[in-house]
Amino acid sequence: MKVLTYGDIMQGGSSVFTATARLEDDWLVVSFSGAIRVDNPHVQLQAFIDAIQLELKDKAVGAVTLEFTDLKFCNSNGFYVIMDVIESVYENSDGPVHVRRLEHDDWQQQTLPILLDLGSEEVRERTSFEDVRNV
Amino acid sequence: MITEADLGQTRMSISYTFAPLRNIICDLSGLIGRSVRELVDAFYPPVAGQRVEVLIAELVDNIVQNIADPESEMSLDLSVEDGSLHVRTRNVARRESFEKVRDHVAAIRAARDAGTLQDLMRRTIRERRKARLTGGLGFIRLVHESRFDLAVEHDDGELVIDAWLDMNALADEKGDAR
Repeated sequence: MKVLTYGDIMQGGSSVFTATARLEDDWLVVSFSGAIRVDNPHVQLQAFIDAIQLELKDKAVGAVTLEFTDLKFCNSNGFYVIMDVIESVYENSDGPVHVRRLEHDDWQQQTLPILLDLGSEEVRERTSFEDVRNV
Repeated sequence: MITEADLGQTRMSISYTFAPLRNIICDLSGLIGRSVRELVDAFYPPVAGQRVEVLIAELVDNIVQNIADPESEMSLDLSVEDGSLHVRTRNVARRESFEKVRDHVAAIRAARDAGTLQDLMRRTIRERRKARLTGGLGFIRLVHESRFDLAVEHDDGELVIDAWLDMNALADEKGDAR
């Protein structure tokens, strides 16, 4: 798969969170891994949010996979970053969106559907979930 | 042979105190949260450790981001006994800060009792994101996601927050349709 763009959060000289957007033909995979603990994650991730918006504008994206199973922790300020990325993905694609999330993770089960805006009929119709057992 | 049920009956307590607060320049919530999670995981179902980490992250970050007196101290006490996990934090806070937190927690409890907590969470996320505000979700999250019960008081100039988790209810949640 071709990496379109990626962003990370550095703490103490090492990467603690990574977000990656990859494309193969018209299949887009956006992955989140690590942990978001910093007070203002936008400081380090705004460039990624801007880049994914820009990259997807002229791409023909069909199916999308959103991969959350390697995201181990997300503070509440991280929610807004996730929402910005998700919004870009939905706006710049029109196919089904498959969400892979952890089966036993409170925020991925309870709050992620709110961040995805499942209250919207259009979003709800495009979205499916796969619950993956925690390792 | 020690069974999981035996482990779940373990009593434990931990206490932290930090002063002066101006010296907290590290990722304190992350450091405490991760270490307490490991301890809790050693005795109780993994979901308990996961929830304690979120709880500590939200409570400690809240204290560190709202320091009223840089020379004062904060404390965090955790205990597990009789099927209940209890965390209490204390820190110096102005009366108006306490009143703000008290009213916020009262609104969350009212929404929970009315079955509208998810709506409150959804509305708060959208409003704060639109206004480009950070924070403001922590307490809702603790009740909505993690099922803590919260109480707030102002005692001798200190903001005291209590959080309880019913450990006996964790096993019943496994079959939840979410």
